[in-house]
Amino acid sequence: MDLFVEFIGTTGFATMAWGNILMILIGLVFITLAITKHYEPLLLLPIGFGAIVGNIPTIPGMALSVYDEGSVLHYLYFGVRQGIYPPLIFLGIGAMTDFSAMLSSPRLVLLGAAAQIGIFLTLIGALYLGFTPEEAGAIGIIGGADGPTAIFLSAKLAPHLIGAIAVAAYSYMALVPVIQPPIMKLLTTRKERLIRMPPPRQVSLRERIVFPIAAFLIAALIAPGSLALVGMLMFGNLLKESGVTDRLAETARHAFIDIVTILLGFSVGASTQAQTFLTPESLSIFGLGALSFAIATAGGVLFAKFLNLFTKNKVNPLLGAAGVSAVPDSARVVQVVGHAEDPHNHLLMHAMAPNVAGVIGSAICAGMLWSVMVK
Amino acid sequence: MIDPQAGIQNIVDGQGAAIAIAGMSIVFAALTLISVVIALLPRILSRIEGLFPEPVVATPRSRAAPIEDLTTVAAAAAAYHAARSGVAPG
Repeated sequence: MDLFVEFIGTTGFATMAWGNILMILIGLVFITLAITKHYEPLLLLPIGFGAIVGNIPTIPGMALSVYDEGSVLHYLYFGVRQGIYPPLIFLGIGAMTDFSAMLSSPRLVLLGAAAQIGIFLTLIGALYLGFTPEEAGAIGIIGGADGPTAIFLSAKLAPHLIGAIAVAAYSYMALVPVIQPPIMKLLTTRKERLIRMPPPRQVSLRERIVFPIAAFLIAALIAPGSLALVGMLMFGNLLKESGVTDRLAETARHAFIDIVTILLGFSVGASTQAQTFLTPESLSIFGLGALSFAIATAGGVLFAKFLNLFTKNKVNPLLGAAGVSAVPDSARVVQVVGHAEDPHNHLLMHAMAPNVAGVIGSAICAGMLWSVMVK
Repeated sequence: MIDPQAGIQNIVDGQGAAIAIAGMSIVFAALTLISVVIALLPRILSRIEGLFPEPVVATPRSRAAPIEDLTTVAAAAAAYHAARSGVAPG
């Protein structure tokens, strides 16, 4: 009987805290959003289930949770803690990405730079709220709207905030179709939203082969901290474009990225234990994250309007919103908002240019922040 | 509640404005350079056409197999079947 009572005391029912229940509910909300609304299902579903797993109370003395040395989850989390998974995901993204839209419209690349203002204004906001410069840098990168980059920089600058930053980044990425349209409409006139873009030119295979090498050299020489992210992104793209490594490209963009995504999503979710996750800092991070997405969107749109002051061939300012690097969601949002004004205006291909430029831009920002804040 | 003065002092101490200005300058410099290289790439590549010709992508041929090939395949299949079933090929 004593044994039975002792066993009952070790069950999750006996040791469950209200915070764990709340986090399990949040995990269920993520899974529901992924299944019913299709919001970033490849990430929200593993993160959601990981959050449920991570919030089952563990037994003292048994290595079970992400934070218990020697546990299975601890080993899986190693790739997050050391920033290994994000560059591997970038390899797969590179092998999936077609940079043709960007290569055919070089001026749209600048919209990807303008949207990075979200990162730096959020950094200032985080400093204002009392975060350390390293924590502020890691929080600011949420504004890059790039989950792997956010996790990579958090692992380097503020490992104790990875869970909150990753969940905030992916949650807001999933909410891009909700966050962006009101800001885009607020900052543009109907006349501007109706601007049509010239059809993109045909890009030669040679350009597509040379581009990843040239872009990597430029980005890595200017911000060496971006070497791992941009290097893997461009390596993956070269595998795709070279035409001689189809098997490698195929693996990188399918099985490989899928495996890493499962490991990353699940272990990030499992790291959201209520005891470490439900803190006032996490709430501040969520608030700053929402702000950063809004600022990044506004920055891109306003910069497109600024460009129009000096150029003869006007840019549809909606394209600026695609400068946040949530690929391809923000490009889709541009298409949807533009299409709502004029059903014959197809902006998707054009929006992919600032969108992929935003991926490079946020990786450069992460590299820059890491360089200036490394001890 | 955050004391505004303390918040602003945190920004000053953390060099927030300097990092923001430097960061935006660096990302604009890098992407502008990439943009310029992209714009010049077609011209640069046309100059070095001889050194770096446009790769020819091999397309699979969809011709029908000639009769000779089919005869060889049939003979090989018959030989294999015979060997497996212990009958000498005729």
